[in-house]
Amino acid sequence: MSLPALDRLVPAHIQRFEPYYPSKPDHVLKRMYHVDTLHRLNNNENPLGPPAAVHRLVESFSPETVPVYPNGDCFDLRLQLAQKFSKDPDQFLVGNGSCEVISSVIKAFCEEGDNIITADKTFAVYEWVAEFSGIEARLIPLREGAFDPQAMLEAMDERTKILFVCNPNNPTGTYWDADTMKDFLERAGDGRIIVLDEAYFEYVDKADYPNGMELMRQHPNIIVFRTFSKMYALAAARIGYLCGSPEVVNIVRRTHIVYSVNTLAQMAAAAALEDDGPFIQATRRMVSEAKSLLCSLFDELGLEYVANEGNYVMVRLPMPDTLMYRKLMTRGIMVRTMTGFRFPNWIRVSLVERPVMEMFCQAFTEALRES
Amino acid sequence: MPKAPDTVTLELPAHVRWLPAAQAVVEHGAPTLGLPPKKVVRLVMAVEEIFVHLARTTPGCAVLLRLLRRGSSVQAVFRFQADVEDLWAMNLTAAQELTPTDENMDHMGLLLAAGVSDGFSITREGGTVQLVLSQDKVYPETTPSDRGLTAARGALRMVDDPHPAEVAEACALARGLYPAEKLHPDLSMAGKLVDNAAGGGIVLSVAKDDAGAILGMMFWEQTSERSVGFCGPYVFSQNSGPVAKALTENMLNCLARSRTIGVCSRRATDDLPLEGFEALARIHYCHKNIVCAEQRIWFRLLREDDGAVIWAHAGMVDFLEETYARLSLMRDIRTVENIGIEMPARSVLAAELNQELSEAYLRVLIPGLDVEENIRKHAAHLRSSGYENIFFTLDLALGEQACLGGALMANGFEPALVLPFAGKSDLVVFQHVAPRS
Repeated sequence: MSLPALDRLVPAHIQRFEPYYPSKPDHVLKRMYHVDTLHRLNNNENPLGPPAAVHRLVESFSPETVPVYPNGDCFDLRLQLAQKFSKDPDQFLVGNGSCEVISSVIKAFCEEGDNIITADKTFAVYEWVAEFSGIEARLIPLREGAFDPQAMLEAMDERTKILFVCNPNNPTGTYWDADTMKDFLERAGDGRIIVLDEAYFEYVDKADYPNGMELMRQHPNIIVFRTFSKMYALAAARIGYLCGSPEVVNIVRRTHIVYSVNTLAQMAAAAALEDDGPFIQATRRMVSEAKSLLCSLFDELGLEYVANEGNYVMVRLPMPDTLMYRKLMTRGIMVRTMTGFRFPNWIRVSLVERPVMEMFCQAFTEALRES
Repeated sequence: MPKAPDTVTLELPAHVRWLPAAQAVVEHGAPTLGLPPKKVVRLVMAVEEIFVHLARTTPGCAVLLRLLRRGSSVQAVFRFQADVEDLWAMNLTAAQELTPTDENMDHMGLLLAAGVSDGFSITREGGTVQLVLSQDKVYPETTPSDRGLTAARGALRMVDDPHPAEVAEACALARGLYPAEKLHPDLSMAGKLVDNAAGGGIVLSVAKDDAGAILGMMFWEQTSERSVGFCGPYVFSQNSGPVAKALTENMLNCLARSRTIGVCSRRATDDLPLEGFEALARIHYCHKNIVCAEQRIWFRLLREDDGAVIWAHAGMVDFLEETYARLSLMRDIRTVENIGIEMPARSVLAAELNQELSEAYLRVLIPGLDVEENIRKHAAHLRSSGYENIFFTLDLALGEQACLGGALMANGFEPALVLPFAGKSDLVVFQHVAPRS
C-alpha cells in the first residue's frame, strides 16, 4: 500500500498551512542544554498557584472518578460561573483551554469566503484557526503597540463575521479603555460578532479597564473569552470558557465539542473560583514586584521595553531573540522569542517570584555581555 | 473548477519506438511553456539522450516524463525504477574518461544530456530515480543604472508584490550601486527575477516612498524545507538605515509564521542591520586570482532551538564542537566512518557553477565507492578550469553524506562553516584550499 494522493485529498488552505510544533518537554531540553533545572518564563504561568482550595481538591481526588466520563458540558462549573457573574448558565461554554472556544466560535459563524479581523501582532491562535479553516484572517498592524480600532473598522466588509480584540493584548499588554471600547462597539454595530479575549483580565487593576461581562448587556454581539490557565494557574488542566448572550451561545454550542473538559479540570476550576480575592491580590503583588525589578534592569542597560498589563514584559535586544533564547537556556532560563509574534529581536518574559527573577536578571546580563 | 497545473505528464515504456512520443511532447510543449526555439532544441536533445539511455539499460521499464515550467526555467522530469550505477556519466568530469566508442555510447548520451542542460539533479527514493533536466528561458541583460541614491519623500512603505517595471528598476539600481559579489545572478536579468517571483521560487519586496520612488529591495528563496537564503537589503536611498531595517523586518515578519526555521545569506550587503543577525563564519574569497577578501556569512534562527542529533566524520568533530559552542547551538554529534550499506561503484556529484564569481558549489547526488577519487577529480578539474572558490556541502542529517568528511579533508577541503537547518538538518560547507604553488 502506498500513501494516499495527499495533494488531491487535502484542501489547498490546509496544504498552505504550516503545522505548529510546541517546545520539547523539560527533560529533553534539560538534557540538550546540559542544565539541571529549567525555569519556564515563556508561557506566562502563575508560579504561586493554584489557589489553596485547588490543592486540597487535587490531593483528595479519588482514582474511582477516573473510569467515569466527565459531565459533557461542565454543568456544575457553568452554574458557578453564572452565579459569580450574575448570568444564566446557558450563557457559558467551557472548553479544553480557550483555544478550543476560539475554534468553536469561528466554526459557528464563518464559511468559505468570510473573513475575521484581528491584529498582526497578537495571540496567534485567532489567525491560525481561521487560516486552517479556510477563512481569511485580516491582520491589522498595531498602532503604538495597541489594537487600532479605526483600522479594524475600515477593514470590515460584508463578509466580515468576527472581530477579535485581545484586551489586554498579548504580548504588548496594551488595552482599550472603556471609552475607546464603547466607541468601537458602537461604530462596529451589531452585524458582527465581537470577541473580547480577556485571558489576562484578572491581572488588570485599572479603573478605566472595561469589563466585557458588563458590556455584553448593551452589546449582545459580544463574546468574552476567559481562561483558568493564567491567573488561576490551572494551565496543565487546560480549561477556559466563553460567555455571551444566550442566543449567540446557542449557536456556538452547535459547533462546540462536548466531553472535552476532564473531570479534574472542571472541579479544579470550580474550586479556584471560591474565595479567589486574596489569591489574586497576592499574584498581583508578585507581578508588580517582578515588573519593577525587570524595568529597573532594562533602564540600567538602556534597552527599550514594553511593560503594561498582564504578567509579562517584552524587551528589545541588540541581538537576535533566538540567540538570547539559546544563551539563557544554557543558564536554565526559558523565555519566549517574539519573532513568531512578528516582533523580531524581542523576547517576552513572564513575571514570577523574586528569586527566579533575580536569576533571570543575572543570566540576561551575562548573555548580553557575551555578545 | 480547480485550475489545471501548467504541466504535461506522459507515462510510457522505455523503448525506442516510444521515443517520437517523448520528443513530440517536449518539442510542442516546451514552446507553450515559454522556452525559445534554440532552447527547445537543447531540451529535446537532452530528453532524447536520457530516454535512449533508459531504453538501452532498462528496456521496457515504465518511465514517467513530466514537462513543466518552474519560474524562469522549463524542466523535463523523468521518474523511473533503475539502478543508479550508470548515471556516473552525468559527472562534470566524465568527459575526461569517455571516448566515443560503441561501448561508451550509453554514457556519452548522459554526458551530452548533462552538457546541454542548464542544470540537472538526481534524487532517489527507494528504487525510484528522479532525474530533472532544466533549460533556462532567455532574458535581456539589465543595464546598471547610474542614477545614484534617492532622497526619500514622505513615509516609507513596503510593497510585497511589486510591478515588473519596478523590479526592473530596482535590479538596475542594485547593479549600479553594489559590487558583483553582493549581487544575486538574477539581478542581471530582471525578467528572470520577475518570472522566478511569479513562479513562487523567489519572494521579493521593495520599499517605496510617498512619491512612489523605489528606495530599496530585498528578496529571498527557500533553500531547503526549513531554511531561506536572502539577498540584500539593496538600498537606493540616501538615508539607508531605516530602509534597510524596514526591508529586513518585513522579510522576517513574512517568514515569522512559516515553516522556515533559519535565514542565511552569503550575499548580504553592508546595509544589513547586524543586531538582528549572527555571524556564522568568514569565508576567504578570491576573484580572478587578484582580489582576495573575506566574506562574512550572516544568519539567524526564527524559532527557539530545541537541539538536534547530527552525524559527522570523526575528522570534523573538533570543528563542529567549536562551531556549535560558539553559536550556542545544542547538537548531539554522532560519529560515522562508513554507513555499511551497499553502494554503487560510481558516484555522482552535482556542481552549481558561477563563472562570474569564480565560484563552484559541489554536493553529492549519489554516493559511490569511488567518491574520494571523484572528489579529487572534480576539485582538480575546477581548479584547472579557473575556479578559485570551490565549496562542497554535506547534510549532517544523512550518515552517507556525513561520512564523506574524511574524503573531503583528504583532498584539500577544509570545513569552513555550518549552516543550521539548511538541509534536512545542518549543512557543513567545506572550502577547497588552493594547492601551494
